[in-house]
Amino acid sequence: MGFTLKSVDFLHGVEPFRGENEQEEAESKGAELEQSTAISVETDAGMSLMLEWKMRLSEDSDMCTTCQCPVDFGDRAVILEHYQSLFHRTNTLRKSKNLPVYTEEDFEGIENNYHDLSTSQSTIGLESDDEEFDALLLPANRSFFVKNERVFSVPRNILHVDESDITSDTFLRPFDCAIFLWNGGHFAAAIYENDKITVQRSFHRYVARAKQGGVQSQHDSGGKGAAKSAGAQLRRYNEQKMKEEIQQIMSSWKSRLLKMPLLFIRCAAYHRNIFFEADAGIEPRDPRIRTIPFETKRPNIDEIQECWQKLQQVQEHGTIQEFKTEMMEVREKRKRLARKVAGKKRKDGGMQMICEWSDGEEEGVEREKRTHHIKVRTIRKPEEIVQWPGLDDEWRQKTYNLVRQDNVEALQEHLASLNEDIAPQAIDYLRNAKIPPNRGSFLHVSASHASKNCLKYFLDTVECDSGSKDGGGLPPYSSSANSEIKAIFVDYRVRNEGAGNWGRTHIPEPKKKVELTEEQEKEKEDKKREKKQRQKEREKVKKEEARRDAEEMEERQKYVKMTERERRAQAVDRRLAGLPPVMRCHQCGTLLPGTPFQYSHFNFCTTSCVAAHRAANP
Amino acid sequence: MALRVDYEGSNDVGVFCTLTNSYCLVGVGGTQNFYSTLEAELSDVIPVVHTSINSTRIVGRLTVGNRHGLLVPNATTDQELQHLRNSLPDEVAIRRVDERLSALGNVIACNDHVAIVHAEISPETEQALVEVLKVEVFRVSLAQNSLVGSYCALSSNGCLVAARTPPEIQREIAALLQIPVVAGTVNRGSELIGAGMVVNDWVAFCGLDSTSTELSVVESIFKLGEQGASTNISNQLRDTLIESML
Repeated sequence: MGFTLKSVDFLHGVEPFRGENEQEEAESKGAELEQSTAISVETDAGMSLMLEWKMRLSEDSDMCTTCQCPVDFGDRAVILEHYQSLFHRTNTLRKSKNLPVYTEEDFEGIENNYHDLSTSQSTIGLESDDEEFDALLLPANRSFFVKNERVFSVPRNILHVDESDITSDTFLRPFDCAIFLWNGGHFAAAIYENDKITVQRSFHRYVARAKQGGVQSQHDSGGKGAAKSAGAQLRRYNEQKMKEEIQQIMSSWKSRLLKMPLLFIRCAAYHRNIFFEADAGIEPRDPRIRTIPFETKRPNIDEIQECWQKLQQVQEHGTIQEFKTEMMEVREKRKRLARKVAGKKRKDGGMQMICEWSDGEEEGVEREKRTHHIKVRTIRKPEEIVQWPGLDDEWRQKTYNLVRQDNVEALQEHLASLNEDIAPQAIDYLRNAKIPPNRGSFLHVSASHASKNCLKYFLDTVECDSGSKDGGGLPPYSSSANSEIKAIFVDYRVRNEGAGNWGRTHIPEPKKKVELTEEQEKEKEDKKREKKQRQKEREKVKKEEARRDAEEMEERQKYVKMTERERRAQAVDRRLAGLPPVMRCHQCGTLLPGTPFQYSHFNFCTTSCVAAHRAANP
Repeated sequence: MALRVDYEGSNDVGVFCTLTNSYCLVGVGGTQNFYSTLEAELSDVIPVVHTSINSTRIVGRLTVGNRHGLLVPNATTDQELQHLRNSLPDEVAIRRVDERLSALGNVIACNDHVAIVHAEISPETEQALVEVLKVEVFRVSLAQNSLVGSYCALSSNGCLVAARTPPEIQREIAALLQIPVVAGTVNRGSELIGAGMVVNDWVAFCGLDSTSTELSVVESIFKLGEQGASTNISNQLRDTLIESML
């Protein structure tokens, strides 16, 4: 059984349903829930016990085959640390793409580039509730009301232009409206006055292309140009006639239509203009025009009756408590989805967000529609009226500039220069102003311009809301210019951990410092020192090598320039001094390999040197 | 106990079936033979569920799960998800993950404690693995085979990897998983271990073509013999296996 607008139950004692308190409640509960799920899941502790068969491995074979670096397989902590490190992840990725893997030393240099990437990835999981999803407790396309502790709803569409919420008056008056249904060649229209049809009209004309679908004009405007067949001509003519006929009907009903509080129109978007072009007192943006919020069948008078009945149906949602829990569930689901969606590209928007598993096919469809409507509502926020009348444009402009320049002293002076009675206004302005082009708060501005001092000032002294969203629905943290700014936010969170819901600010939890025992710490320190030592040694070796190379180069140059006599003299000198002889290539002066290339008494390093020498001394 | 079965003439039973310690998924097919065999073997212990994923029957390649949970690809329809939810035990969590590499069974191999995964899976999926399947996640590749799920099968007792996996990688995997690892084949020489067989802690199903040697390797590495009464031959085999690994 269902209720309708005509049910006597609703004649008095109807109150609009308010969701604000509930919303807060839900939010805090949601936050709790989130925390409980956020506790990291540990793997079974008994796992190691279960393993009675352990591999005995020789020490030297303990290595990560991807990174080609030694890992102590005896220590689970070390394994985990390595395999979850950015270094290993980067290397596995590179390996799978057939790129050379980094060595640990190479990686250290470029780590910083990767670091940003890794933090941005890890925050995806934390990014939780968008403003959008905080706000949507109730589906926007329905108007909810309470009667005797039970919640009901009607389509928002049936409320008159001047009403914002449902009252008992809504049920007292007759449901007067005009309904127009037009699909293809079928047209039906009726006007209800005092719950009765006073005028009606329905007719059919041959305009739709049989078996092809679509009306003739649509086909004509498609790629192939106008069809010339007799049928096409007929349909074209009929379409023209149909439009004329509809306009005629509309204008003959003009006096009645002008009085109608609601006009329900169901037709193709490209046909809508006909209703406005007709001389019937309907304007293109007439606020009385409504769409029909459900599916309709072929337009005829019966269908109009059906629509009229259906529009009056009142849906029951159970008691207030049940309704609230249901809404909360929906919210939770959405949040979860939002988090999921946040990970991927957001181009699909709300339409993608069908629930994970819906309770039935119909339910899923309804929710999908709901999110869609709600999306539309959030976009149409009421325009801001002039706020903070005590602050002139010049003052605001200067404030903005000072924030951009990160000149916090000047900003404070600038604030102090105001009269005492305007000062609270100024504070309120700093907290709540929406600054074009992105409609962000001053926190957004200071975060995106890396104004460190101003940001600190806004957070700590002015106490701006770090969860406020800009036009794109992002909190200030997300527009941080660099990691330094992010650190300020995180620091702020650390200092105010108890305060409120941090999920909406997107500020991540500070990295928990794992409590290390002294021994472990010492070990870590040792490792670090060792690493440094190794690096130092490597550098030393490198320097040494470079020096030797340079020396060798010099020797070579000298040798090449020497005449044959001098070379011999040098060899003799060396022999006399008891040094081992130095054998160099006669042509280029490099040290000779074990078995040099020889002709007569000349030695060469390569055949090309031989050839060059022969060419020079034919 | 390792059994030989076939799925409508195909040896690749791992393609059409996901087997864990608390449930078993079987792709819907034209005949009941495969389903009946599994049902006869398992139904008094765990539910055997007929299902499709994204209207296909290759459930083994598209899903990954263990006794804690089940991950299904994003393309899974609401209806299928609802069906799975209704059929699986309540303590099994199900999650739909939006992963680019949507054949989760091919890119992830896991038992109840650890998972080895393809290098390129997204951090969100990794998170889901930790949360839903309650496993530690390691990104590795089996030499040139980066589809770890296709080229290895693992249970809580052991792991069988493709025959040509180098010994150092086997050692590495063994250290990560903390279970013995052996290289081998199924289905008369197929290297697609994960696709060719399914295994849980007490039973394994291999393709009909598997040789008896392959079966005995499977039985010994996954410890599927009769409890405590391991035969002489399997003992010997085991010793040689262990020797070959050291």
